[in-house]
Amino acid sequence: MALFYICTIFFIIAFFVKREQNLMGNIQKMLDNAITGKFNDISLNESKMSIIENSMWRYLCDCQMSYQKLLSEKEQIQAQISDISHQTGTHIANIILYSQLLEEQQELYVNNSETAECLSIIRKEAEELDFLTGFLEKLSRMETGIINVTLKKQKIMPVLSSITNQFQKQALKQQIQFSIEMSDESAVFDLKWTKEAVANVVDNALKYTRAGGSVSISVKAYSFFVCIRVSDTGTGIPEREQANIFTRFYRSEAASEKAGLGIGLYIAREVIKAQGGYIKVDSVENKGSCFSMYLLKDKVS
Amino acid sequence: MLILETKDLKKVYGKGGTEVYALNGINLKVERGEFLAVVGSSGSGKTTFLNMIGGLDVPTSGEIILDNKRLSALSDNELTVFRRRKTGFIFQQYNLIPMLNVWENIVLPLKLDGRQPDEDYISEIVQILGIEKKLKELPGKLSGGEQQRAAACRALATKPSVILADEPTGSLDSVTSQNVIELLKITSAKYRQTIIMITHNEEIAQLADRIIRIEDGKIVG
Repeated sequence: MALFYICTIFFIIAFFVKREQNLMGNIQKMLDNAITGKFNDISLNESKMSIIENSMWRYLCDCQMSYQKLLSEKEQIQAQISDISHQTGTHIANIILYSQLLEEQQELYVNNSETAECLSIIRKEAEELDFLTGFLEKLSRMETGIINVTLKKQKIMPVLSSITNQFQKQALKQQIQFSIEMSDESAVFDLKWTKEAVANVVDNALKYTRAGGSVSISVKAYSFFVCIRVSDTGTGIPEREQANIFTRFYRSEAASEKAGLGIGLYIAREVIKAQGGYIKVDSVENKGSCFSMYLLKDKVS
Repeated sequence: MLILETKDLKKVYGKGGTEVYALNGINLKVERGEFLAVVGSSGSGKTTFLNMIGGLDVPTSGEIILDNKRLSALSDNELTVFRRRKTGFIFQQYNLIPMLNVWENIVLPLKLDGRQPDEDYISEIVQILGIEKKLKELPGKLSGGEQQRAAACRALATKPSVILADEPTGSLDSVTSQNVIELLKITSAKYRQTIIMITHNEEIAQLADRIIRIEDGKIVG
Protein backbone atom coordinates (compact mmCIF):
# COMPACT_ATOMS: atom_id res chain seq x y z
CA MET A 1 0.00 0.00 0.00
CA ALA A 2 2.78 2.37 1.01
CA LEU A 3 4.60 1.50 -2.19
CA PHE A 4 1.50 2.43 -4.19
CA TYR A 5 1.33 5.86 -2.56
CA ILE A 6 5.02 6.49 -3.15
CA CYS A 7 4.61 5.53 -6.80
CA THR A 8 1.60 7.81 -7.21
CA ILE A 9 3.41 10.77 -5.65
CA PHE A 10 6.43 10.07 -7.83
CA PHE A 11 4.33 10.09 -10.99
CA ILE A 12 2.54 13.28 -10.02
CA ILE A 13 5.86 15.03 -9.42
CA ALA A 14 7.26 13.68 -12.69
CA PHE A 15 4.16 14.96 -14.51
CA PHE A 16 4.53 18.49 -13.17
CA VAL A 17 8.27 18.59 -13.80
CA LYS A 18 7.65 17.50 -17.37
CA ARG A 19 4.94 20.15 -17.82
CA GLU A 20 7.19 22.84 -16.43
CA GLN A 21 9.96 21.78 -18.80
CA ASN A 22 7.58 21.92 -21.75
CA LEU A 23 6.42 25.39 -20.81
CA MET A 24 9.97 26.67 -20.39
CA GLY A 25 10.95 25.05 -23.68
CA ASN A 26 8.09 26.78 -25.45
CA ILE A 27 8.92 30.16 -23.98
CA GLN A 28 12.56 29.66 -24.92
CA LYS A 29 11.54 28.83 -28.49
CA MET A 30 9.36 31.91 -28.60
CA LEU A 31 12.19 34.17 -27.47
CA ASP A 32 14.58 32.59 -29.96
CA ASN A 33 12.08 33.26 -32.74
CA ALA A 34 11.67 36.82 -31.53
CA ILE A 35 15.44 37.36 -31.63
CA THR A 36 15.71 36.09 -35.20
CA GLY A 37 12.65 38.11 -36.22
CA LYS A 38 10.64 35.04 -37.17
CA PHE A 39 8.16 35.32 -34.35
CA ASN A 40 4.51 35.12 -35.20
CA ASP A 41 1.55 34.61 -32.92
CA ILE A 42 0.11 31.36 -34.09
CA SER A 43 -2.11 29.84 -31.47
CA LEU A 44 -5.35 31.59 -30.66
CA ASN A 45 -6.97 29.76 -27.79
CA GLU A 46 -7.73 30.01 -24.11
CA SER A 47 -4.36 28.73 -22.93
CA LYS A 48 -1.91 30.84 -20.91
CA MET A 49 0.69 30.17 -23.58
CA SER A 50 -1.46 31.86 -26.19
CA ILE A 51 -1.88 34.91 -23.97
CA ILE A 52 1.88 35.17 -23.52
CA GLU A 53 2.35 34.80 -27.25
CA ASN A 54 -0.12 37.59 -27.89
CA SER A 55 1.62 39.95 -25.49
CA MET A 56 4.98 39.07 -27.00
CA TRP A 57 3.67 39.86 -30.48
CA ARG A 58 2.27 43.16 -29.34
CA TYR A 59 5.55 44.05 -27.69
CA LEU A 60 7.57 43.23 -30.79
CA CYS A 61 5.26 45.25 -33.04
CA ASP A 62 5.49 48.21 -30.66
CA CYS A 63 9.27 48.00 -30.62
CA GLN A 64 9.47 47.90 -34.36
CA MET A 65 7.11 50.83 -34.67
CA SER A 66 9.06 52.97 -32.24
CA TYR A 67 12.26 52.03 -34.01
CA GLN A 68 10.92 53.06 -37.38
CA LYS A 69 9.59 56.29 -35.95
CA LEU A 70 12.94 57.11 -34.38
CA LEU A 71 14.71 56.30 -37.60
CA SER A 72 12.54 58.60 -39.67
CA GLU A 73 12.85 61.38 -37.10
CA LYS A 74 16.62 60.98 -37.11
CA GLU A 75 16.72 61.20 -40.87
CA GLN A 76 14.59 64.30 -40.80
CA ILE A 77 16.81 66.03 -38.28
CA GLN A 78 19.92 65.14 -40.21
CA ALA A 79 18.49 66.40 -43.46
CA GLN A 80 17.62 69.64 -41.69
CA ILE A 81 21.08 70.05 -40.22
CA SER A 82 22.58 69.44 -43.61
CA ASP A 83 20.22 72.00 -45.11
CA ILE A 84 20.87 74.65 -42.51
CA SER A 85 24.64 74.30 -42.59
CA HIS A 86 24.51 74.47 -46.36
CA GLN A 87 22.46 77.65 -46.24
CA THR A 88 24.66 79.29 -43.61
CA GLY A 89 27.53 78.63 -45.98
CA THR A 90 26.20 81.17 -48.49
CA HIS A 91 25.75 83.84 -45.86
CA ILE A 92 29.21 83.37 -44.46
CA ALA A 93 30.67 83.49 -47.95
CA ASN A 94 28.87 86.82 -48.38
CA ILE A 95 30.25 88.17 -45.12
CA ILE A 96 33.76 87.20 -46.17
CA LEU A 97 33.29 88.75 -49.59
CA TYR A 98 31.95 92.05 -48.32
CA SER A 99 34.53 92.36 -45.56
CA GLN A 100 37.19 91.88 -48.21
CA LEU A 101 35.60 94.60 -50.33
CA LEU A 102 35.46 96.86 -47.31
CA GLU A 103 39.09 96.17 -46.55
CA GLU A 104 40.07 97.18 -50.07
CA GLN A 105 37.97 100.32 -49.91
CA GLN A 106 39.39 101.41 -46.60
CA GLU A 107 42.92 100.77 -47.83
CA LEU A 108 42.23 103.02 -50.82
CA TYR A 109 40.32 105.87 -49.24
CA VAL A 110 40.51 105.87 -45.44
CA ASN A 111 43.67 104.10 -44.49
CA ASN A 112 43.04 103.97 -40.77
CA SER A 113 45.09 101.24 -39.06
CA GLU A 114 42.48 100.60 -36.35
CA THR A 115 39.71 100.08 -38.90
CA ALA A 116 42.01 97.83 -40.89
CA GLU A 117 42.60 95.68 -37.85
CA CYS A 118 38.89 95.41 -37.06
CA LEU A 119 38.13 94.42 -40.62
CA SER A 120 40.80 91.79 -40.73
CA ILE A 121 39.48 90.29 -37.48
CA ILE A 122 35.97 90.17 -38.95
CA ARG A 123 37.28 88.41 -42.02
CA LYS A 124 39.34 85.90 -40.04
CA GLU A 125 36.47 85.06 -37.73
CA ALA A 126 34.16 84.61 -40.69
CA GLU A 127 36.67 82.30 -42.31
CA GLU A 128 36.86 80.24 -39.14
CA LEU A 129 33.06 80.06 -39.09
CA ASP A 130 33.07 79.01 -42.73
CA PHE A 131 35.43 76.20 -41.91
CA LEU A 132 33.26 74.98 -39.04
CA THR A 133 29.99 75.01 -40.97
CA GLY A 134 31.73 73.26 -43.83
CA PHE A 135 32.69 70.51 -41.44
CA LEU A 136 29.21 70.37 -40.01
CA GLU A 137 27.76 69.91 -43.46
CA LYS A 138 30.18 67.15 -44.32
CA LEU A 139 29.43 65.43 -41.07
CA SER A 140 25.68 65.50 -41.48
CA ARG A 141 26.05 64.33 -45.06
CA MET A 142 28.01 61.40 -43.83
CA GLU A 143 25.37 60.60 -41.25
CA THR A 144 22.65 60.57 -43.88
CA GLY A 145 24.87 58.35 -45.98
CA ILE A 146 25.44 60.92 -48.69
CA ILE A 147 29.15 60.00 -48.83
CA ASN A 148 28.73 58.28 -52.13
CA VAL A 149 32.16 57.13 -53.07
CA THR A 150 32.50 56.22 -56.71
CA LEU A 151 35.37 53.81 -56.75
CA LYS A 152 37.74 53.83 -59.69
CA LYS A 153 41.24 52.56 -60.16
CA GLN A 154 43.41 55.63 -60.66
CA LYS A 155 46.80 57.18 -59.95
CA ILE A 156 47.47 58.55 -56.49
CA MET A 157 49.50 61.42 -57.91
CA PRO A 158 46.59 63.94 -58.20
CA VAL A 159 45.83 63.50 -54.50
CA LEU A 160 49.44 64.22 -53.61
CA SER A 161 49.75 67.28 -55.81
CA SER A 162 46.49 68.70 -54.48
CA ILE A 163 47.78 68.22 -50.92
CA THR A 164 51.02 69.96 -51.85
CA ASN A 165 49.14 72.97 -53.20
CA GLN A 166 46.87 73.08 -50.23
CA PHE A 167 49.42 72.88 -47.42
CA GLN A 168 52.81 74.07 -48.65
CA LYS A 169 52.14 77.69 -47.77
CA GLN A 170 50.76 76.84 -44.37
CA ALA A 171 53.78 74.65 -43.55
CA LEU A 172 56.12 77.40 -44.61
CA LYS A 173 54.30 79.85 -42.39
CA GLN A 174 54.55 77.47 -39.44
CA GLN A 175 58.22 76.85 -40.24
CA ILE A 176 57.65 73.15 -40.67
CA GLN A 177 59.58 71.14 -43.18
CA PHE A 178 56.96 69.71 -45.52
CA SER A 179 57.95 66.98 -47.96
CA ILE A 180 55.89 64.86 -50.29
CA GLU A 181 57.37 61.92 -52.06
CA MET A 182 55.65 61.73 -55.45
CA SER A 183 54.60 58.31 -56.57
CA ASP A 184 53.36 56.54 -59.65
CA GLU A 185 51.22 53.96 -57.82
CA SER A 186 47.54 53.41 -58.53
CA ALA A 187 44.78 52.38 -56.17
CA VAL A 188 41.00 52.11 -56.03
CA PHE A 189 39.50 55.26 -54.54
CA ASP A 190 37.23 58.25 -54.98
CA LEU A 191 39.34 61.29 -55.85
CA LYS A 192 37.28 63.99 -54.15
CA TRP A 193 36.70 62.20 -50.87
CA THR A 194 40.19 60.78 -50.64
CA LYS A 195 41.65 64.27 -51.06
CA GLU A 196 39.41 65.30 -48.19
CA ALA A 197 40.53 62.40 -46.01
CA VAL A 198 44.26 62.88 -46.64
CA ALA A 199 43.88 66.63 -46.18
CA ASN A 200 42.28 66.08 -42.79
CA VAL A 201 45.15 63.86 -41.69
CA VAL A 202 47.79 66.30 -42.98
CA ASP A 203 45.98 69.25 -41.40
CA ASN A 204 46.00 67.35 -38.13
CA ALA A 205 49.72 66.61 -38.45
CA LEU A 206 50.55 70.26 -39.11
CA LYS A 207 48.40 71.35 -36.21
CA TYR A 208 50.31 69.30 -33.67
CA THR A 209 53.83 69.83 -34.99
CA ARG A 210 55.90 72.69 -33.62
CA ALA A 211 58.06 75.06 -35.64
CA GLY A 212 61.25 73.38 -36.76
CA GLY A 213 59.59 69.97 -37.01
CA SER A 214 58.74 68.10 -40.15
CA VAL A 215 55.73 66.49 -41.84
CA SER A 216 56.37 64.03 -44.60
CA ILE A 217 54.08 62.07 -46.90
CA SER A 218 55.09 58.91 -48.66
CA VAL A 219 53.40 56.18 -50.65
CA LYS A 220 54.23 52.52 -50.53
CA ALA A 221 52.63 49.64 -52.40
CA TYR A 222 52.00 46.28 -50.79
CA SER A 223 50.50 43.18 -52.34
CA PHE A 224 46.85 44.07 -51.63
CA PHE A 225 46.97 47.65 -50.43
CA VAL A 226 48.68 50.89 -51.30
CA CYS A 227 49.58 52.87 -48.21
CA ILE A 228 49.65 56.65 -47.99
CA ARG A 229 51.71 57.49 -44.93
CA VAL A 230 51.71 60.84 -43.16
CA SER A 231 54.40 61.11 -40.49
CA ASP A 232 55.18 64.06 -38.31
CA THR A 233 57.55 64.95 -35.53
CA GLY A 234 54.81 66.50 -33.47
CA THR A 235 53.51 66.07 -29.96
CA GLY A 236 52.43 62.49 -30.51
CA ILE A 237 49.42 60.75 -29.07
CA PRO A 238 49.56 58.96 -25.72
CA GLU A 239 48.83 55.26 -26.06
CA ARG A 240 45.66 55.41 -23.98
CA GLU A 241 44.20 57.95 -26.41
CA GLN A 242 45.16 56.19 -29.60
CA ALA A 243 42.03 54.06 -29.65
CA ASN A 244 39.81 57.13 -29.38
CA ILE A 245 41.19 59.58 -31.88
CA PHE A 246 39.08 58.28 -34.75
CA THR A 247 35.82 58.55 -32.86
CA ARG A 248 33.56 61.46 -33.47
CA PHE A 249 33.99 64.64 -31.40
CA TYR A 250 36.98 63.23 -29.57
CA ARG A 251 39.41 65.94 -28.49
CA SER A 252 42.69 65.04 -26.89
CA GLU A 253 43.19 66.65 -23.48
CA ALA A 254 46.49 68.06 -24.65
CA ALA A 255 44.79 69.59 -27.70
CA SER A 256 41.97 71.31 -25.92
CA GLU A 257 43.33 74.79 -26.66
CA LYS A 258 43.66 74.17 -30.41
CA ALA A 259 40.76 75.01 -32.72
CA GLY A 260 38.76 72.12 -34.08
CA LEU A 261 35.70 69.97 -33.60
CA GLY A 262 37.22 66.54 -33.34
CA ILE A 263 35.72 65.22 -36.55
CA GLY A 264 38.58 65.46 -39.06
CA LEU A 265 40.04 62.05 -38.33
CA TYR A 266 36.57 60.59 -37.97
CA ILE A 267 35.71 61.75 -41.47
CA ALA A 268 39.05 60.43 -42.75
CA ARG A 269 38.37 57.01 -41.29
CA GLU A 270 34.78 56.88 -42.58
CA VAL A 271 35.90 57.81 -46.09
CA ILE A 272 38.74 55.28 -46.15
CA LYS A 273 36.41 52.64 -44.72
CA ALA A 274 33.78 53.34 -47.36
CA GLN A 275 36.43 52.66 -49.98
CA GLY A 276 37.28 49.27 -48.55
CA GLY A 277 40.50 50.36 -46.91
CA TYR A 278 41.58 51.11 -43.37
CA ILE A 279 43.52 53.67 -41.41
CA LYS A 280 45.88 53.16 -38.50
CA VAL A 281 48.12 55.21 -36.28
CA ASP A 282 51.51 54.62 -34.70
CA SER A 283 52.61 57.23 -32.27
CA VAL A 284 55.14 57.87 -29.56
CA GLU A 285 54.47 60.71 -27.17
CA ASN A 286 56.71 63.75 -27.77
CA LYS A 287 58.35 62.01 -30.75
CA GLY A 288 55.63 62.15 -33.40
CA SER A 289 52.83 60.24 -35.07
CA CYS A 290 52.49 58.27 -38.24
CA PHE A 291 49.09 57.82 -39.87
CA SER A 292 48.83 55.07 -42.49
CA MET A 293 45.91 55.04 -44.89
CA TYR A 294 45.58 51.78 -46.75
CA LEU A 295 43.70 51.87 -50.05
CA LEU A 296 42.76 48.78 -52.02
CA LYS A 297 45.09 48.07 -54.92
CA ASP A 298 42.45 46.35 -57.00
CA LYS A 299 38.70 46.18 -56.87
CA VAL A 300 37.41 43.31 -54.80
CA SER A 301 34.86 41.44 -56.82
CA MET B 1 3.92 48.06 -41.01
CA LEU B 2 0.42 47.14 -42.01
CA ILE B 3 -2.12 46.32 -39.37
CA LEU B 4 -5.11 45.85 -41.62
CA GLU B 5 -5.51 44.90 -45.21
CA THR B 6 -8.75 44.13 -47.03
CA LYS B 7 -8.75 42.66 -50.48
CA ASP B 8 -11.78 43.04 -52.72
CA LEU B 9 -14.17 42.76 -49.82
CA LYS B 10 -17.80 42.04 -50.81
CA LYS B 11 -20.99 41.48 -48.92
CA VAL B 12 -24.15 40.56 -50.77
CA TYR B 13 -27.61 40.32 -49.28
CA GLY B 14 -30.40 38.49 -51.14
CA LYS B 15 -30.15 36.15 -54.10
CA GLY B 16 -30.95 36.02 -57.82
CA GLY B 17 -32.48 39.19 -59.17
CA THR B 18 -32.78 40.94 -55.82
CA GLU B 19 -29.13 41.06 -54.89
CA VAL B 20 -28.06 44.03 -52.83
CA TYR B 21 -24.38 44.83 -52.52
CA ALA B 22 -23.73 46.22 -49.06
CA LEU B 23 -20.02 46.17 -49.83
CA ASN B 24 -18.78 46.03 -53.39
CA GLY B 25 -15.04 45.46 -53.55
CA ILE B 26 -13.29 47.32 -50.76
CA ASN B 27 -9.49 47.46 -50.90
CA LEU B 28 -7.91 49.20 -47.97
CA LYS B 29 -4.58 49.26 -46.22
CA VAL B 30 -4.11 50.71 -42.76
CA GLU B 31 -0.73 51.28 -41.14
CA ARG B 32 -0.02 50.49 -37.52
CA GLY B 33 -0.72 53.46 -35.28
CA GLU B 34 -2.91 55.23 -37.81
CA PHE B 35 -6.14 57.01 -36.89
CA LEU B 36 -8.55 56.42 -39.73
CA ALA B 37 -11.99 57.95 -40.11
CA VAL B 38 -14.58 56.29 -42.32
CA VAL B 39 -17.32 58.61 -43.50
CA GLY B 40 -20.34 58.08 -45.73
CA SER B 41 -24.10 58.53 -45.74
CA SER B 42 -26.31 56.06 -43.90
CA GLY B 43 -26.76 52.84 -45.79
CA SER B 44 -23.42 53.21 -47.54
CA GLY B 45 -21.99 50.11 -45.89
CA LYS B 46 -19.78 51.70 -43.21
CA THR B 47 -21.08 49.63 -40.33
CA THR B 48 -21.07 46.40 -42.34
CA PHE B 49 -17.45 47.11 -43.13
CA LEU B 50 -16.50 47.73 -39.51
CA ASN B 51 -18.35 44.65 -38.31
CA MET B 52 -16.42 42.55 -40.78
CA ILE B 53 -13.08 43.89 -39.65
CA GLY B 54 -14.09 43.10 -36.10
CA GLY B 55 -15.06 39.57 -37.05
CA LEU B 56 -18.71 40.18 -36.15
CA ASP B 57 -19.88 39.54 -39.70
CA VAL B 58 -18.57 37.32 -42.48
CA PRO B 59 -17.84 38.64 -45.97
CA THR B 60 -19.43 36.99 -49.04
CA SER B 61 -16.07 37.12 -50.75
CA GLY B 62 -12.72 38.78 -50.28
CA GLU B 63 -10.08 38.72 -47.64
CA ILE B 64 -9.40 40.51 -44.36
CA ILE B 65 -5.94 40.37 -42.84
CA LEU B 66 -5.85 41.95 -39.40
CA ASP B 67 -2.63 42.01 -37.38
CA ASN B 68 -1.08 39.32 -39.55
CA LYS B 69 -4.10 37.02 -39.25
CA ARG B 70 -6.37 35.96 -42.08
CA LEU B 71 -9.80 36.19 -40.49
CA SER B 72 -11.44 33.67 -42.82
CA ALA B 73 -8.95 31.04 -41.71
CA LEU B 74 -9.95 31.27 -38.06
CA SER B 75 -12.42 28.91 -36.41
CA ASP B 76 -15.29 30.27 -34.32
CA ASN B 77 -13.39 29.72 -31.09
CA GLU B 78 -10.27 31.35 -32.41
CA LEU B 79 -12.29 34.27 -33.71
CA THR B 80 -13.73 34.82 -30.25
CA VAL B 81 -10.30 34.89 -28.67
CA PHE B 82 -9.03 37.05 -31.50
CA ARG B 83 -11.78 39.63 -30.97
CA ARG B 84 -11.11 39.66 -27.28
CA ARG B 85 -7.37 40.23 -27.57
CA LYS B 86 -6.83 42.16 -30.77
CA THR B 87 -9.82 44.44 -31.05
CA GLY B 88 -11.52 46.94 -28.82
CA PHE B 89 -15.02 48.12 -29.69
CA ILE B 90 -16.63 51.44 -28.95
CA PHE B 91 -20.30 51.70 -29.88
CA GLN B 92 -22.68 54.59 -30.24
CA GLN B 93 -24.83 53.25 -27.42
CA TYR B 94 -21.83 52.71 -25.07
CA ASN B 95 -23.01 49.13 -24.25
CA LEU B 96 -21.77 49.30 -20.68
CA ILE B 97 -23.21 46.60 -18.44
CA PRO B 98 -25.64 48.40 -16.09
CA MET B 99 -25.19 46.02 -13.12
CA LEU B 100 -21.41 46.46 -12.95
CA ASN B 101 -19.71 49.63 -11.80
CA VAL B 102 -17.37 51.53 -14.11
CA TRP B 103 -14.19 49.83 -12.91
CA GLU B 104 -15.74 46.36 -13.27
CA ASN B 105 -16.89 47.27 -16.75
CA ILE B 106 -13.41 48.36 -17.73
CA VAL B 107 -11.63 45.24 -16.52
CA LEU B 108 -14.29 42.79 -17.71
CA PRO B 109 -12.65 41.98 -21.07
CA LEU B 110 -9.37 41.26 -19.28
CA LYS B 111 -11.05 39.02 -16.72
CA LEU B 112 -12.75 37.13 -19.55
CA ASP B 113 -9.32 36.44 -20.99
CA GLY B 114 -8.06 35.17 -17.63
CA ARG B 115 -5.60 38.02 -17.37
CA GLN B 116 -4.79 40.14 -14.36
CA PRO B 117 -5.58 43.79 -15.09
CA ASP B 118 -2.45 45.93 -15.27
CA GLU B 119 -3.57 48.43 -12.62
CA ASP B 120 -0.92 51.04 -13.40
CA TYR B 121 -1.77 51.11 -17.06
CA ILE B 122 -5.51 51.21 -16.50
CA SER B 123 -5.36 53.92 -13.87
CA GLU B 124 -3.27 55.92 -16.30
CA ILE B 125 -5.81 55.74 -19.11
CA VAL B 126 -8.60 56.33 -16.62
CA GLN B 127 -6.81 59.50 -15.60
CA ILE B 128 -6.16 60.66 -19.14
CA LEU B 129 -9.81 60.13 -19.96
CA GLY B 130 -10.80 61.88 -16.72
CA ILE B 131 -13.14 59.37 -15.10
CA GLU B 132 -11.01 58.46 -12.09
CA LYS B 133 -13.67 59.82 -9.70
CA LYS B 134 -16.45 57.78 -11.28
CA LEU B 135 -14.95 54.30 -11.01
CA LYS B 136 -17.27 53.18 -8.21
CA GLU B 137 -20.43 54.51 -9.85
CA LEU B 138 -22.89 52.50 -11.87
CA PRO B 139 -23.03 53.52 -15.55
CA GLY B 140 -26.62 54.76 -15.18
CA LYS B 141 -25.46 57.61 -12.93
CA LEU B 142 -22.99 58.92 -15.49
CA SER B 143 -23.54 61.50 -18.19
CA GLY B 144 -23.34 60.47 -21.84
CA GLY B 145 -19.82 61.79 -22.26
CA GLU B 146 -18.64 60.01 -19.14
CA GLN B 147 -20.23 56.76 -20.23
CA GLN B 148 -18.54 57.01 -23.62
CA ARG B 149 -15.21 57.70 -21.97
CA ALA B 150 -15.71 54.66 -19.74
CA ALA B 151 -16.45 52.64 -22.87
CA ALA B 152 -13.26 53.97 -24.46
CA CYS B 153 -11.34 52.90 -21.35
CA ARG B 154 -12.80 49.43 -21.64
CA ALA B 155 -11.74 49.26 -25.29
CA LEU B 156 -8.21 50.36 -24.40
CA ALA B 157 -7.82 48.15 -21.33
CA THR B 158 -6.83 44.99 -23.18
CA LYS B 159 -4.20 46.90 -25.18
CA PRO B 160 -5.81 45.79 -28.43
CA SER B 161 -4.03 46.09 -31.76
CA VAL B 162 -6.91 48.00 -33.24
CA ILE B 163 -9.84 49.97 -31.84
CA LEU B 164 -13.04 49.92 -33.85
CA ALA B 165 -15.39 52.76 -33.09
CA ASP B 166 -18.85 52.90 -34.64
CA GLU B 167 -20.25 56.41 -34.37
CA PRO B 168 -18.65 56.86 -30.95
CA THR B 169 -19.94 60.40 -30.68
CA GLY B 170 -23.37 59.74 -32.12
CA SER B 171 -25.24 60.52 -28.92
CA LEU B 172 -23.01 63.29 -27.60
CA ASP B 173 -23.14 67.05 -28.05
CA SER B 174 -20.50 68.57 -30.30
CA VAL B 175 -18.10 69.87 -27.64
CA THR B 176 -18.16 66.60 -25.68
CA SER B 177 -17.70 64.71 -28.94
CA GLN B 178 -14.57 66.61 -29.75
CA ASN B 179 -13.24 66.14 -26.21
CA VAL B 180 -13.80 62.40 -26.26
CA ILE B 181 -12.09 62.00 -29.63
CA GLU B 182 -9.14 64.16 -28.64
CA LEU B 183 -8.68 62.10 -25.50
CA LEU B 184 -8.92 58.92 -27.51
CA LYS B 185 -6.28 60.31 -29.85
CA ILE B 186 -3.91 61.15 -27.01
CA THR B 187 -4.27 57.70 -25.47
CA SER B 188 -3.86 55.88 -28.72
CA ALA B 189 -0.80 57.91 -29.70
CA LYS B 190 0.74 57.16 -26.35
CA TYR B 191 0.13 53.42 -26.53
CA ARG B 192 0.51 53.20 -30.31
CA GLN B 193 -2.96 51.91 -30.98
CA THR B 194 -4.66 51.94 -34.32
CA ILE B 195 -8.15 53.44 -34.47
CA ILE B 196 -10.73 52.94 -37.17
CA MET B 197 -13.68 55.20 -36.54
CA ILE B 198 -16.96 55.50 -38.35
CA THR B 199 -18.67 58.81 -38.23
CA HIS B 200 -20.99 60.94 -40.29
CA ASN B 201 -19.78 64.06 -38.58
CA GLU B 202 -17.29 65.75 -40.89
CA GLU B 203 -15.93 67.89 -38.09
CA ILE B 204 -15.06 64.84 -36.00
CA ALA B 205 -13.60 63.10 -39.06
CA GLN B 206 -11.20 66.03 -39.51
CA LEU B 207 -9.45 64.99 -36.30
CA ALA B 208 -8.26 61.76 -37.89
CA ASP B 209 -4.97 61.22 -39.74
CA ARG B 210 -6.78 60.00 -42.81
CA ILE B 211 -10.37 60.01 -44.02
CA ILE B 212 -11.91 57.53 -46.40
CA ARG B 213 -15.39 57.88 -47.81
CA ILE B 214 -17.62 54.93 -48.56
CA GLU B 215 -20.56 55.31 -50.97
CA ASP B 216 -22.70 52.42 -52.22
CA GLY B 217 -20.28 49.85 -50.85
CA LYS B 218 -17.22 51.35 -52.47
CA ILE B 219 -14.39 53.59 -51.37
CA VAL B 220 -14.75 56.84 -53.27
CA GLY B 221 -11.86 58.82 -51.83
